[in-house]
Amino acid sequence: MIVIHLYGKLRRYVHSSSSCKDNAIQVSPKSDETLESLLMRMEISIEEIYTIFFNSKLLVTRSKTARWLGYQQLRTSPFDWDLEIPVKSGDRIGIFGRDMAALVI
Amino acid sequence: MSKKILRVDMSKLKAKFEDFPEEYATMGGRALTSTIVSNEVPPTCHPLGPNNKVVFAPGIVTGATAPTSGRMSVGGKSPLTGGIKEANAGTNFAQKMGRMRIAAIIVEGKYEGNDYFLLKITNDGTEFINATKWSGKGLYQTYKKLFQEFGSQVGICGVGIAAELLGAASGICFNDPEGLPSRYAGRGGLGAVMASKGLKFIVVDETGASGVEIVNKDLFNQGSNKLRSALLTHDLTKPQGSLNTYGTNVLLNVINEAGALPHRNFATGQDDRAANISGEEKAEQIKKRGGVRPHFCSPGCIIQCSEIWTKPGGKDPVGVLEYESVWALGANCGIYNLDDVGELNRACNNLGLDTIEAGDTIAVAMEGGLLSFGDGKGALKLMKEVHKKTPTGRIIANGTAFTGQAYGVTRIPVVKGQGLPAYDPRPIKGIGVTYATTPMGADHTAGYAIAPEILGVGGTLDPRDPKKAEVSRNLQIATAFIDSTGYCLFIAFACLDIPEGLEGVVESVNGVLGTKLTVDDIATIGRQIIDTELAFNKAAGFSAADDRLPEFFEEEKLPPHDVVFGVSNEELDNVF
Repeated sequence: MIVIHLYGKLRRYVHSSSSCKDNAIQVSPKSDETLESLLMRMEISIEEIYTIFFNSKLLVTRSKTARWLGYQQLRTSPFDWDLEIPVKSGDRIGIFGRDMAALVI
Repeated sequence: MSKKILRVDMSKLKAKFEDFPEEYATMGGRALTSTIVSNEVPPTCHPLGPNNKVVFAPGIVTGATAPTSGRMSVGGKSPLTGGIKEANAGTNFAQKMGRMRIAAIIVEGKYEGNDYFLLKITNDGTEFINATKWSGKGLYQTYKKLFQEFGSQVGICGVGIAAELLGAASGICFNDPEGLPSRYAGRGGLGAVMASKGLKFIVVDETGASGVEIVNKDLFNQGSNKLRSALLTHDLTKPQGSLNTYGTNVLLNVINEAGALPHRNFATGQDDRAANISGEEKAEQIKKRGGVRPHFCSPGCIIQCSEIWTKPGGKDPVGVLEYESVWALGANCGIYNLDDVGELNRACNNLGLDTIEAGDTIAVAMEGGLLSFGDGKGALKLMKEVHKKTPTGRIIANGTAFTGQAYGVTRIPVVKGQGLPAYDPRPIKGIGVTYATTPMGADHTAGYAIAPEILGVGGTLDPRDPKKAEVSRNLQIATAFIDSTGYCLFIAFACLDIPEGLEGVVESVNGVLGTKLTVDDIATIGRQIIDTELAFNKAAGFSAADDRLPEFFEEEKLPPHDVVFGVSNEELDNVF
């Protein structure tokens, strides 16, 4: 199973979501599943998303601060929104909506 | 009437206004505190002796109508790090000082008796009032009484019981708009410096003040409006944006998901119980309880990231629970109960303790076996030890390194004696470089401001490129500049994405000062501030060996990324 953690307003995609617990959905991957197809299946619009972590590594963000923070990143550029990335059982994906537009405070 | 400096001699209990020296004319905030400390404090003096000074300076635009600019810098030689310190807070105290045209208050000397004093500053002069009756009392009770005595219109700055113990973890407390003792220039033990002089409180009453002198009002207004527009449109800073909705604790789930939130004294970077103390949960609880969110720390702030956290039923307001505080007193101690975290934050505010240092200290005490990780009630008992001024309380009040030594702990997360903030430096190496090299000791706010490419100084960070020195250096330089203007560092996020925002900052500063600075001058000004601070530290005995993280960050891999810090000493030495 793929575990998708949703934060902020995106918690509405989790059945019986709560602010005080870890809001995660477990999804069985289809064959040739990608992150993009997974999001489409879940009907989460990319436009709603501010940041995605893939196995706790920064995959994409709209925050330019990512350039100089030195987070663990999956790819060289965290601004490439090509989400045709294979996903498999055991992956952890964390998704933050635009209401959580921060990487550092 | 032009700006002036108020010099307070605690040895003689005398205060006098002096002309603002021409050489300081373009300085405010951190530039002014660090320059005065550098010029007037012997670097090798004892931080708690008569030769140290504590300097208060509002920013250049503070007190005027510029948005989000109510910052107060406090400087001195730190008893925690042994080096120069600038800590700052958002508070209307700073705005009142700005409008009274007091560019700085310099507190020097030392009262030789056992009494404490309150210094009252009005437009007509100053008055020392014996404040010994407040010794040993919590700041919530004390601030309430002081506002009753001096009126709701005053601003109050004070130190608590932790500072009376001369604890190196003690901060300097300013009031929030409701009069709560919750806005702290917390870091570096400057509370102990103030208390060591016998000064317990400063009360400012701005009645009849002239207001901030603005040389070019049109330019000031133009700049203020540009910045205001940027803040009103950016996702992070706008009304109902991230900071406005969740406060700074918006970051807790983000950093946990990134595997970089230190849990249980920096043992792991991720624990899904973090959701229990997240920004989302806190915002929900505040709504249910009848607290206040959003809320401003000082009038004129557009971002309004502050709040008033309460007990259930809206009782017993604490003030703001910042991200750093929730992390330090929560996840870092294995405490995932927001009510426990709130009460620990209340205890810190009440005692005058820096929440970051207190959280690091409690976690190290947990590692040393004094109590167990996750024991929120036990942590509150430790705070009571401080209140009662017991030997254990005295150890805790002296911070992370002191407590670690007392309890035989080797994993002590400090740089230059100051506890690390809420980003583990192993997976977020850019911040780690700044922790190691800033003159302030481990400080997350020392190195994030305006992105290097906007300043035109280069240094975009490629995560696969280990050379991070240039980036950290430029960020620290830019931050030093912002800390001097009086603007909150959080304006940096809007300025990063909206170039007119940074133009507005520079124009508003020019409007106040009558200068012709450009964005390109930021790097020069910031560098001068950093160089001043570095020179002080060098003269105090610091060397490259002090610009290092504790060795366990090189030896212990942090889950889930299983990485060590891994930045070479040569790279760290290249920062400055």
